[in-house]
Amino acid sequence: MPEFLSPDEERALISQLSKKPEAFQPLYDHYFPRVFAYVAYRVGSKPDAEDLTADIFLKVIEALPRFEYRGAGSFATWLFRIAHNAVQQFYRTIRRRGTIPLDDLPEIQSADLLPDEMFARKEQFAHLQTALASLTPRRQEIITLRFFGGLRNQDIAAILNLDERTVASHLCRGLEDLEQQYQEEAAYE
Amino acid sequence: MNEEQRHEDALLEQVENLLERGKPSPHQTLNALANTIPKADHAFRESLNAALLAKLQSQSIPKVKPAMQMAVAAKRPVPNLSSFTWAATLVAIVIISGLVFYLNRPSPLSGVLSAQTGDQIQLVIAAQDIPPGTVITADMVGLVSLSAVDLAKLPIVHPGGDYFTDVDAVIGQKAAVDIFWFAPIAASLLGEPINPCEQPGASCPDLPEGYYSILFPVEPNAVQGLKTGDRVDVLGIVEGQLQVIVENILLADVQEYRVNLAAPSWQHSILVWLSQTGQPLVLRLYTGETVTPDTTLVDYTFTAPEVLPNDYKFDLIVELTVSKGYLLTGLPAVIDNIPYTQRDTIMNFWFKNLELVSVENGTTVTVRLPQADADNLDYLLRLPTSLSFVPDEDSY
Repeated sequence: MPEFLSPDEERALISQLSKKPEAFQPLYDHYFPRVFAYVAYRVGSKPDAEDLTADIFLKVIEALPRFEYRGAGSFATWLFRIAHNAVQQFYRTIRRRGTIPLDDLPEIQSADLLPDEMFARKEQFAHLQTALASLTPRRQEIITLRFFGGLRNQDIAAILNLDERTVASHLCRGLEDLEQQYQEEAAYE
Repeated sequence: MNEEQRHEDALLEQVENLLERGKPSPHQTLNALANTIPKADHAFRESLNAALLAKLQSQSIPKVKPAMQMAVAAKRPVPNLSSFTWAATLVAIVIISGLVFYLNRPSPLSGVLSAQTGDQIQLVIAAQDIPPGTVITADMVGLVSLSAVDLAKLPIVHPGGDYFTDVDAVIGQKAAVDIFWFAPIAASLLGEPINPCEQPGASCPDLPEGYYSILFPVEPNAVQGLKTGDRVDVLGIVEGQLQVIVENILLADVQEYRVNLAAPSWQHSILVWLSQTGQPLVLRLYTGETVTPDTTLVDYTFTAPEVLPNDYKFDLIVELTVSKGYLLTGLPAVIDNIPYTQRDTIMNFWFKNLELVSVENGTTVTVRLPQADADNLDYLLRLPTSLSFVPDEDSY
């Protein structure tokens, strides 16, 4: 199941969507892992990530007739704007939570991790996700959109209504803050 | 450019190298982010996929949403772990417990358990991910205590043996391969980093830009008279006959029982398909000539499968299944300058930057393009191909 879409292929598929609903399949294959990874890092728990991902894609399907392709990157920007808004809405409605149980952590992408290695990676995810949640919302958003949404700085700028240089600065400072938080957490344990 | 800007640019470059090229960063946190990408359950992904396609096809508010919610809820029950998973989990819990205990000690990790019972063994483990080539320092490793029962499970989970029990014996040594967080340090993991291309039987030839390689097993007589760097035709059985499948393929590496064939884009796709058929490879020296493409602009007329507006600016995609790729050996001109993509078993050749001359009766299309491209397009349209039209990039 191919997951890489070149800009040309994406353009072709989007132009075919109105006539061939099955053209959505490759788009889904390409964007689903990225949306899920982004959402999972933003919310932490697998059940919440699944619910939110499902809501996001439903909104995408409903809004597709209104989407206007405007060149390479425009679909990704549009889709992740929907995802970003959904995550924001999630945090407006949900109460703060404590530590997420191990069973509620998502699996981690990997070629062949042994069970204890997967356990360690999930623990690492939990640490990182906690450290990330301590950053400002803007920096959380920029880091997760870059690393897990796979978006370029200019696409992130379009979603968050910032200029590209500001996104780059927030990304760097956010990563440095994250490094510090992550190392402090590791030392504290 | 000030110091802060330079620092930011350097970090951005590390991020790009990591995300776009998979090159590890000196920043541990960046690597940790890249190593902990969450993945959805396959069943959830598939059930959502089905629900979305159904909604697209019905173009209504999803009646399937309750079913989808049930599918999502079905992923939440407590997993039924196998006995092996429980054993591995137990080992992991013991390791983590031991590590947490020792990391809380104020002094750098070293030394011996103060209370070593008769059936407890100390092992040196990685306290972080250690990339190949890294000289191991005291803060990268830790000691953990395992019972003999848990120790017996280790070769199953971490094969290799020769585990270190003394931290000082590890400090100062170099990681030969990736050593992951919590992994016991074994002698086989230390030393000079291993270059996979220097391993016996490895094949890592230098390839021209845009070329991709694939290894094929061969009988020794299949490569008689051929040497690395030759250009070859690849033959195979199609429709019961031996015929040329692809021409002018680079023989990137020749070994006794294997060859490494390299080609750009669509030719590589056909080689991959050929490798999956499992048929023996037949090679012969390529004797064709390199032809300079004729770039004279000509008008070419063809029939579109759908009605097009008169002023429609488009790119043209010609689709051919990979299994019919052998038909391309008759192409009049080199097609490598035509952009190419592939989706599953369909090869897509893109004719871009076409100048639309006219559309008559909605489906008779005349375009202006270089002679070589027109010749190739004419040839492709006589094959079992399909056409698609996509709005030109510049029209957005």
